[in-house]
Amino acid sequence: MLWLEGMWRRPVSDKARPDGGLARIQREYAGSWVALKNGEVVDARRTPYELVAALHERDITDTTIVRIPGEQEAELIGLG
Amino acid sequence: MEGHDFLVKPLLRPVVVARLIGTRTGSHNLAGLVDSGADHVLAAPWVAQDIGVTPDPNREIRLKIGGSLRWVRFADVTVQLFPPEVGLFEGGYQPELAHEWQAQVGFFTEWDSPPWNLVFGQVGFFDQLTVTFNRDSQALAITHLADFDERFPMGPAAGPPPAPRFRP
Repeated sequence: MLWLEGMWRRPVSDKARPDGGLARIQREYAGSWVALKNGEVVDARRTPYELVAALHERDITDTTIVRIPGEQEAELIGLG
Repeated sequence: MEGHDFLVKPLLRPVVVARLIGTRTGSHNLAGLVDSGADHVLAAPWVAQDIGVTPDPNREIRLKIGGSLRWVRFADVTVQLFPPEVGLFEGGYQPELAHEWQAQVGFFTEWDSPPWNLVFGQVGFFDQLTVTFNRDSQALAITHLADFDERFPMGPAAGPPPAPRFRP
């Protein structure tokens, strides 16, 4: 068994900001909880509860749920 | 981030995609932070509801996280860890690809918006797998538990015995 995972990148300045899907999502949804599927955001809400409820209402399952940090947020050590 | 113009190198976070199973399979994949500094596998409160488990009030501890004391209750669940082919962006559910094991997972009793839904700590994750980090490669490698001993057959150097602290 060998799984090689790339790390989740969070840019800290324009100098380090790459182009591409992740960067776009991080810009558009900073501070939000998002549900990702097939490379796109299918829904985004302020809290995970609101997001899961919205997905349930829309009968959407099997997304990946993740929080996009806000650009002005302080760095977290672990869970903060 | 405010005041961080001098930082050019991006922040990187070791994240894996997983799903939990209780009395029912979770509805969604979760982005889990691999955190060697955490003692347990921890999950957000809503996840317990989603997978149909009631964390045990008799298995409760208090943790200090984010400057606050928070209660965590444990439940025994199945953890499914997905390979990189099941990416963060793709979603979907392919249980046949998952590496799966039973773990004691701590669910926060209250936390409206934790920064991560799932944190993989020492007990329940690092005791199941070998995890190798390499920032230069911007990657982490997850291999079977015995891999560490296979790569490093000599055990850690033994230090001198600790000095006696008291005489009985």
